[in-house]
Amino acid sequence: MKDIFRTRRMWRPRGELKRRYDVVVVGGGAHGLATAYYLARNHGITDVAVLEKSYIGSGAAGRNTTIIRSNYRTPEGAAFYQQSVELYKGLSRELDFNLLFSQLGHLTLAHSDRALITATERAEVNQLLGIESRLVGLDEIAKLCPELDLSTEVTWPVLGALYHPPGGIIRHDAVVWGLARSADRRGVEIHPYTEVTGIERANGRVTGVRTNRGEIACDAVVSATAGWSTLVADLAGVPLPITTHILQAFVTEPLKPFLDVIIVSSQMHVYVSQTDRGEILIGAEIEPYTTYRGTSTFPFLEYSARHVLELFPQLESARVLRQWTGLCDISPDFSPILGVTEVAGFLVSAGWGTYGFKAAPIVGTTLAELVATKRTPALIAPFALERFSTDTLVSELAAAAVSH
Amino acid sequence: MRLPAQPGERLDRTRPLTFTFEGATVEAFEGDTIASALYAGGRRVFSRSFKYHRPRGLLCCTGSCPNCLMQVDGAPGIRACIEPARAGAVVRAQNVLGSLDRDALAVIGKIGGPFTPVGFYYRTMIRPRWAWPYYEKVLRNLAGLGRVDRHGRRTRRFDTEHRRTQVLVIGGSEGGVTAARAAAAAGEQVVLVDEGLSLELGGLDELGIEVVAPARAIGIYEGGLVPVDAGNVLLRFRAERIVVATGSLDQPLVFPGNDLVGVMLPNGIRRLVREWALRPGERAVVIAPAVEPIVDDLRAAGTEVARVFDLNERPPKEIVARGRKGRLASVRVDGETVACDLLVMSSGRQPAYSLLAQAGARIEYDAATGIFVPRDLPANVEAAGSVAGTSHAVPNLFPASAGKRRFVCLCEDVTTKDVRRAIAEGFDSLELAKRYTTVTMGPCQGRLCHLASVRLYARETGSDEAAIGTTTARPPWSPVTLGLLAGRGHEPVKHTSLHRRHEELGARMMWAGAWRRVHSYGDPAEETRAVHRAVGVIDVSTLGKLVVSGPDAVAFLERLYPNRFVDLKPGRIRYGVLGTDAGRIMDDGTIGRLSEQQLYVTTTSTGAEAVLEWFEWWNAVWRMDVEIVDVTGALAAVNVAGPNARELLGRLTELDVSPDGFRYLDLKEAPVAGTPCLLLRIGFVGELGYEIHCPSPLAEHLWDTLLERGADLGVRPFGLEAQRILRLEKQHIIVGQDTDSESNAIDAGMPWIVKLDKEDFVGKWALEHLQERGPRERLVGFELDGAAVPAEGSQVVVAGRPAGRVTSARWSDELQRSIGLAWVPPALAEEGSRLEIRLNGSLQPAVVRARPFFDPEGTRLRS
Amino acid sequence: MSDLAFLSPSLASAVDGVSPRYRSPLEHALAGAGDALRDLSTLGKLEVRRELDAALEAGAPEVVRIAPNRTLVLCEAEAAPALAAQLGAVDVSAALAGLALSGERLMRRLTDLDLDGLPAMGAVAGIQCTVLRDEDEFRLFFAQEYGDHVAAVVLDAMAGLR
Repeated sequence: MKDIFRTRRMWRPRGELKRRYDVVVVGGGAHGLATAYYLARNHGITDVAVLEKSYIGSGAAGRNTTIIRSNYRTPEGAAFYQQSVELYKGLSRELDFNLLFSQLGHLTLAHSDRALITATERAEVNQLLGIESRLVGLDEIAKLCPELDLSTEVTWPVLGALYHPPGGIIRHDAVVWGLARSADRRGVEIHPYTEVTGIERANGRVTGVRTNRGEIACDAVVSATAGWSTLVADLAGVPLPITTHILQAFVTEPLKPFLDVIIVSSQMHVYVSQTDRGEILIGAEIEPYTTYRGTSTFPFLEYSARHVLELFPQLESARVLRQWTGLCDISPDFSPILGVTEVAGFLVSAGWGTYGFKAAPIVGTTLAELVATKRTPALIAPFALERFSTDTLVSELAAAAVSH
Repeated sequence: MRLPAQPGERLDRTRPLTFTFEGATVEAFEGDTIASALYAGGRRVFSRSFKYHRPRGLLCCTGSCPNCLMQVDGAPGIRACIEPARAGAVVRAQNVLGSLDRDALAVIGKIGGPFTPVGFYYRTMIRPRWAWPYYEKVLRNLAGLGRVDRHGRRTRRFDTEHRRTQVLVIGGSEGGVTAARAAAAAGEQVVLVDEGLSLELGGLDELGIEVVAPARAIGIYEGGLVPVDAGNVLLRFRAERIVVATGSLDQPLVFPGNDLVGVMLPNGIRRLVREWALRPGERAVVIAPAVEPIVDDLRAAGTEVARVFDLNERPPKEIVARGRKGRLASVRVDGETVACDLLVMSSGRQPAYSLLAQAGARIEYDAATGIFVPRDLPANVEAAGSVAGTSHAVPNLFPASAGKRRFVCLCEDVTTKDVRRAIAEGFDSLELAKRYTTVTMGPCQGRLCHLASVRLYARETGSDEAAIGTTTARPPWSPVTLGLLAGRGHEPVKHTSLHRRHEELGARMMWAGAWRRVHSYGDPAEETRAVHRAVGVIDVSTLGKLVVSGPDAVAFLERLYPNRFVDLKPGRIRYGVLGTDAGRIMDDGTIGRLSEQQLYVTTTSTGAEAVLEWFEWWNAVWRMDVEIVDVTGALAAVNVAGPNARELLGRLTELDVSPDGFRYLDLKEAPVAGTPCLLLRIGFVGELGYEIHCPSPLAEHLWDTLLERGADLGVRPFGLEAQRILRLEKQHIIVGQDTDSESNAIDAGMPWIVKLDKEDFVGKWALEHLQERGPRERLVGFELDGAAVPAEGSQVVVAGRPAGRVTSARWSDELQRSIGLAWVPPALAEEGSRLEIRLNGSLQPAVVRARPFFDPEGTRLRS
Repeated sequence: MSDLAFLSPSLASAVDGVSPRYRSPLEHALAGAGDALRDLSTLGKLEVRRELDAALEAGAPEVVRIAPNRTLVLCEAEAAPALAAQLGAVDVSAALAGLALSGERLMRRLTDLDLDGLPAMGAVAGIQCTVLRDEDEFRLFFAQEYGDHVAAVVLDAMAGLR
């Protein structure tokens, strides 16, 4: 308890870069910091530098809409995220930092027969894998979310929903800070405002990185740079089949408790939750055009507002306080690209689209294991980059339209 | 209590009105705001703070701070100081337990204050894990400000209006008015948008300047879009030139007790006195860089000015405000204590540059004037007046005093101590500290706390403001309601030409893409029976329809489809599956040859637009001599199917409809019931059938005639549900339901479509690869033992693991069996293979059927 | 070559003395809407997809150039098939609904098109339209399947201005 009142540094001030590290992690977001943390914690590898071009958590980790869930469509995806949710559940205690993880429950609304089929499929796959997930009818939806407009007068009446009780929201910044603190305490060096400008290779192996603060030698480079993945992989000469799009979101001014469950509607292209601060947080589908420019648009606010009010007409007088965008790296089959590349020692965590944040702890543990043992863990084997040349895709596409 | 009439006051004293606050009647005049009327009635506490529930009073009176947020007519977060008083309005306080004056939650501020340092939540309530959900519930209930009625409905109408002008001036400040006048004098069309705070806008309309007020610019977005909140209408402005004249904002001083009720900013005083004829207090102290105008305002109101400290001349070293029950009682400045109920304070004015930053301007600290100023404005955006950086501000931080808090951010109750602690913990960049302390993240959007927090940051880190910089300016500039953003919110919807007929028949409608289609007319089982026994008619107008013509028309389709078309004779039809360049199924439909150089292509209802785009894309790439005309909307279509279909059609046309005269897969052009028609003899539903395509304005006539003349033949309209059952009996697939983005024609059981010996076609390499690789899964028909029907999406289970999925399943009355289609592992895809399908949690046995369940030879179809 | 007669509603013929009834896509939606809106759907409409240089008989059809290679020709319904053949145009009479309305303010509630730059194509009531202007009167031509939708949105916008 006394720790609450004592001012104790979360992490050491940024120091000088050493000339050499065993492992360099590019990207000081949730994935990069989790990888560094688990390298130190699970494998005793502490000669690690995390290089971040801005402040930690400045990219997708600090811009996502914080939803954690595992009700995926493919058995590979569901099993993977199931492990992630399990890790998240214990993470506050493990890091001794309250990440404010609220397992409020997650409802994916179906407004069409087609959406009901997808919901059924996800529920069935999930149940076979031991994940709490089931199809619910209007009566149960009304109990779980009495605020939702379930009338048939709306444009797209709700027909049913996929209910995933363990689904929740978390304080995204806290995840970043908690991981950074624990990684730092175990000896990992965190270098904000350190941009990677080149990746050195010799004989098909990584030998080091160039940065705006000088050169570093290393044996392994892990790129965990989300929206900038293609740019960083290009530095290593590894082309990734990824396009970068923006995803937009906004919050309202804080309101007293209104919504005690997470609502997702693919048909409406929105998902809605209420943060612990009381803001209603609304996110949308990725924009269809590719860009690295994070400019917020007004039509996004207009169509999102229209769709939110279809679901929650009583939010008519709620006020939008702030809107922002994040970059999303989309792979052809909407599943991640995780693990080794054709350049030895250059590992990637990419292609996360809109579901990277929820995978942070499992990405950290599996990539750390891969770095330490040089063997790809079975859980992430289906997500190998190689699958695009062997045509063994893991298609989350059917469930992915808006599946946060 | 009002002063005598002030020159230029807003009040119309001949028009009194009343509203209620917390149930009590409040008297006001036309021209009052809710806050000014309440102030006139003696109210001084207007809100309770976000975290500590400290009493807060009027501060800025310009809608910039959080101190007067209230619920008005059920709407939360209304800035009472700029909300016009309306007769009958129902006003309530928000974020209080009890009342504004006696808020039970104030206990948090009294005893919890020292116990809730920044980052408190992250460090507590971690153990035991099971207790967290309970803690969390308490936290959630404490958070938030306003309240929405959980079961409320939409109550207001909001419209959207698109506006264009040559010059848009945002803000009626002096700079804005000057710019507007100049532009008007130069003959430009000018619109000036003002929040309603400016008094000197009279006479502008005589110069041809349109004044929109009260209205607030929401932001400057890409392409120069400036949406404006004008009350019940959202004005979406596009202008050739945007002049930002949002002026500058009073910046508060940070000293112990700076949030007490009675501490106000100069502009707030000015508005209370000059616009609403109110006396802001009895005895005032003034501490500001420009004191004369403030003193003038106070004297005009009859307020005693007890002491004046001019920060430009001799800044004090220490300021401490003391209060009683949250209200200001005295101020001690450099050891001298002055009793007062009003402290007018400011450190100067900071340009309100947010709109310029959103538009792309760079924001830079100017050490000479002590403020952040906009630089490098984008093309067509200008800054006029003090927003351009003509104001100045002096240092605003004053030392702490024992046991007193100095608030940097009023919205979020963040103190100097919180910021210092955050820095000490390692949150050593402004963006990180903002996220940790939440300073600038509240309803004021940093208007009153950004500069102060940067100064504090610079001091604590031993840096300077220029190096610290600013945080990203995120839109919107002023909070805007979801109702206004949503506007009327009409979703585009497509109706077929027979829509009214379906409604008259009491059809249950459903969505199919943007179309409304008939699910059924009440009894799908009866509808399927009519098709099997007599004749049914279904509206298939939603099918995509393209006419592809030109010398290269056939060659074009040869390159697009895996099918072969060179041998398709005029007057004949072929089923085609369109593939992506990865060999995946994109769409399906029929291709009929109208003549040597003309083909008629139909697509699925929901795929029509994508297919048209796909065709036009490849046509542009290949530059072949082909013209593609989309005739989807021009033509309605009705499928007439069942054993009596021939008899019915024969009654309405002179065409030879005999089995030899009009064969299966023939295409004919002929009048039917007097309407020019294209007829396709195809059979998606498995019975003898004709698809009749006619000009959409004549569809009702055709439909009416079919029903009238077929009455004695047992004709009956049928909907999509019946069609789904009928086609499933034939194992005909529905693209998008039985296939997904990874399915290909070979694995989907249609290898005969794919002509790999053709020279080249879209996706050929991929299909060759798939052929070589062999299937990973295959689409097959299955019958379930017993009467249960698995939900579509159910899993085929092998060794307890998901191994395949049911894409379609129905009960067939005709066959008296539960039938379906499923993707299964290749090893289980042979006729007679046994499957296990999970249904309600248990496994049901099923058997694979490789051939259609109904009429496997197709004799009825071809009859 | 097929003459694509099945695209031309005006080629309907009487059977047993009964002529097929021509139903405009706006007929139902505008019933009872008063005379502020005019239904232009029954006009003959042709789309020419190349540079139209042929001089048309003066006075009869109205030629609207939408883009360099795209022209909309408006004519009497009965004249459409013959004119389509003459110009090598597609008869889009059945495909397009037509609606005339008046008032710039009303149009500003429906579209962000530059009303001083008409004719043009763009979204009106959320639907792609060809928009013509004659003083304060605006004519919209759009895919007929959106007839009910456009009529409903226009009527709603009119209600908002009352």
